Amino acid sequence: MKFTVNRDSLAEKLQTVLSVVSTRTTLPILGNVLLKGDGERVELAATDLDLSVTCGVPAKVGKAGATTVPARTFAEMVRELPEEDVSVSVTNNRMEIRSGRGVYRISGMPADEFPKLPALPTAGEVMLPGDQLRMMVHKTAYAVSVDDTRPALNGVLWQGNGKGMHMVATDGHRLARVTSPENRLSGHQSSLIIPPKALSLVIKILGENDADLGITFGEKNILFRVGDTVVTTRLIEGPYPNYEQVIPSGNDKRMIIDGATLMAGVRRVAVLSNSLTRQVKFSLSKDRLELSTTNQDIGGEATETLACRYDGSELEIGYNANYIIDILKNMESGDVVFELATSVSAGLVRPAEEAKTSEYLCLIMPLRLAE
Amino acid sequence: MSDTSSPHRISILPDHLIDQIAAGEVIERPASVVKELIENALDAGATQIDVEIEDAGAGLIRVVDNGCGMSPDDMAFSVLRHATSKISHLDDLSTLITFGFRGEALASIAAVSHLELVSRHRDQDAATLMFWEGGTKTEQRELGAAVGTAATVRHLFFNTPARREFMRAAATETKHLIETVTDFACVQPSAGFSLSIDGRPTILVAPAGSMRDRLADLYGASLTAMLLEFKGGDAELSVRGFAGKPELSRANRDRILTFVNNRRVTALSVAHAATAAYGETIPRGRFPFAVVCIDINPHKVDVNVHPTKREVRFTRDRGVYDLTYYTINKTVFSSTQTAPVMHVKVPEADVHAQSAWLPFGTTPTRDQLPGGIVPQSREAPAQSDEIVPPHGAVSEASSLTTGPPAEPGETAPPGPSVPQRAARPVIADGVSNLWQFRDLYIVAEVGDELWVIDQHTAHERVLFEEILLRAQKRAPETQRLLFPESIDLAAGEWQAYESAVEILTSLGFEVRPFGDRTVLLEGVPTGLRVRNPVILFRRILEDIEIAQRAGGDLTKAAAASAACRSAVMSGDRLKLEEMQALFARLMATDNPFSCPHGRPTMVKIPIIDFDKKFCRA
Repeated sequence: MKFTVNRDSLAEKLQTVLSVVSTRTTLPILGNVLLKGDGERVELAATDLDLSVTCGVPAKVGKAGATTVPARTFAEMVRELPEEDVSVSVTNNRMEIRSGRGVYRISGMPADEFPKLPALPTAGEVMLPGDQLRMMVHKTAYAVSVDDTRPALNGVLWQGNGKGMHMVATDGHRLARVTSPENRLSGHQSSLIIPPKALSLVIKILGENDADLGITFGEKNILFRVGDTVVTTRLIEGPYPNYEQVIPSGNDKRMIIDGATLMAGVRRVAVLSNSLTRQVKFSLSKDRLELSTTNQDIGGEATETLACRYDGSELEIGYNANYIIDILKNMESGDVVFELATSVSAGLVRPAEEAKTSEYLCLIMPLRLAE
Repeated sequence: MSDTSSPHRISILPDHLIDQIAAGEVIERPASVVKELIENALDAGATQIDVEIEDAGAGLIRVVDNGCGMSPDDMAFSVLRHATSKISHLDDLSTLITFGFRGEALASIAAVSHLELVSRHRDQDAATLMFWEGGTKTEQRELGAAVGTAATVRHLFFNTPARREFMRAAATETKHLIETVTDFACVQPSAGFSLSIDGRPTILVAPAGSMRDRLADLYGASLTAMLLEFKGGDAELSVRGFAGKPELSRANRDRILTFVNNRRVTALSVAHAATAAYGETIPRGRFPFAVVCIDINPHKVDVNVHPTKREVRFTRDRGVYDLTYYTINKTVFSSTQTAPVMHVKVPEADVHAQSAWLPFGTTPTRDQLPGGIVPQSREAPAQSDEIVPPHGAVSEASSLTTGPPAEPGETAPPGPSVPQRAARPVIADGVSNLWQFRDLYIVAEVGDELWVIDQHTAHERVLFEEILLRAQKRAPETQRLLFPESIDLAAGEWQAYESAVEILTSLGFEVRPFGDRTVLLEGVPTGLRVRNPVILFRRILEDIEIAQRAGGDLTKAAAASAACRSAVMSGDRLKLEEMQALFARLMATDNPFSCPHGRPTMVKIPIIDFDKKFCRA
């Protein structure tokens, strides 16, 4: 294989594929990047067997072929090269890189030893605006569980039904659900569970780009295409817990408060909370929210009173401050509504004014306050 | 001097004494009685066996079966030693397929108790009652009863006070009784079993179609869903049973149940093979859940090793080991539902991003997406769930190639040479020279000494005291669960749960009974590292069970268990501030020098030791 390529575009695309190359692996070839030169482009690919990414770099290909070379070393090499075209030739899996007056050689492994990447028919591709995916992922992925023993909760549920298209994430303590009215999954899948690592990679590749991205659904995989960069990931097997049954419907105590004010208050008070439990107490009375915490370890105590709209009966309820901050951080600016029932039951948090194109709902379980 | 008056005259022991001595071998404890009686019932073809226990077996043991029953002649004969209907030639002994064979069981039981037998043979119209006191028949009469045998044993060991003394606490004996009935119920799914203890039904299983159904009845349906069936071998030697998925691994071998020709046995080689078969899928020091049934040509196994028949010998031990290993290994690894535990080391950057100090339940600040939405990478799962058995010898240090730079004597657990609390230095804030060795040891310069602190045991000590304090103040912190979990408990776990429910509550578990041997978990203590609420609950219950057996303080055991589960682990990279905080908090504890399990938290090396090494005067 022989090709000449622009240094900047090669360096940029190598950076993209590096995100799935693991540092330590028992299968050495997974530390390599696959290069395939054909026609007008060189294709780069990397995989960790669950998640794969391929992208193309425009190139003058003198002789078609393929090989694999250690991804990190190659990327570092290219990054250090001067801004000139880079000539690469490969013979018997030994790569020679020429740039300016330098010659660099590195040994690779045969391309046919590289794992076969899942191929999905592009026929059923669904288009989705990039900003919509970005918004839905931002609003949910933070609530994904990190508990390896319950794999379904390690992913973001993407579900379509008559009410629209939902993304849901939960770790069993809190839950976030965002709904878009138009169900683009219709006719393809009713629900799937996607590893957040793949979603974050897609969003990273999207960058500021709000163009449509293409999505293809396989039985065990899902493929995202941004331009000619393709991210494929294995789906997480379900079943996903029946989350709808835990969304309360009779929460009649409503508190309305400016989200930014509340977040700033919770952040301040939480500094002095117990570092293990992060417990902050919400004490609600007529149009008044008092945040408080105590921490015997450091003799910490904090109380802060905020104005809000509330005319339910008085209520004291404990929360993990981090969960509250996570929710507020991902809300649009403006007022948020807390819909509460008792001090031990699930609370609902949502924006006071729903965005035009989506509906957002967060569920949070309280910490039981010691009597 | 007359021969007859000599105290040392040799004489033949009277029969009743021989029986008592023999009984000592067969009947060790109440559970042995139950075992012998159930074996007799099964040999009689019973399909329903009901066991009643009072006062942990010391008061009453009754086993009622619906087997073929005995005629009055057989009954009278049955309590004679070596009376058995099961063998009559020595040849028979090598092809044994029934349970009892030595003919010692009833004779032995009769010798050390008040035994009452009521039996009606299926060919007879009436039942016969016979009563023996210490092996002497004192009563016999006819009465009406169903076909089958009811054996009632009262006042066990009434005439052997030494044996009575050796009986353990009631809880221990009860546990053995539950285990014995559970064992039989496991491998005899076609028979129904019941066990009632002091009038409370403890086990109640109807005849089941398969062993899987039976295990579901005994251990709960949710557990059964995590069992993989295995089968292998040939007519001469075969192995079958169920292997639990790696998630079910336990701290001890209690749940590797081995049966040879349906007889519960102790066979360490089989337990070892079963454990080894899981390879890396379970962490070192933990053991799988497995029911291993070995069916072997009777010629190939020597069951006549010990009268209680618990210990067996295989003619080809290696063959049994290999077959067990390969059959289970193949099943565990070919199951698509089983993912091996990956010993992945967390990339350095991630460790910092998600500092190990951040407790479970809190989420590191993610200032911007998308980089931050990657879930905190797996933090060495094999270790995060690692459990340190009480006084166990598990040591993260063993994985290191080099030990702490100290003389052998210095690495020993702190003895009298370690200053006790009075000598606690007041330097909490003054220590700045801290660094971390191998992501496990914190090395600190304190005056003229170099301190090497084990970060895990040190953190365990800190958390143990905090958890205990909160538990004592009844001020636990509970995170309520969005999805309450119903958990099926085995009989032994249920017993532990019932006796420790208040302790669990004081730790922050919100749990309540939810039907038959099932609990509903609605909240868990905050701040623990094990994130799966069910696993957390089971692990702590398991430790309580162990402490209960050892007669320890259950509250402390539970707190130690919770502390162990939330402490930083070996391999967690700590920032300087975190090390300083840990150091300060350790020094503020009541006993900074050992973890709640008794392992040392630190080793001190005085400068003199270095001087000596460098030949400085």
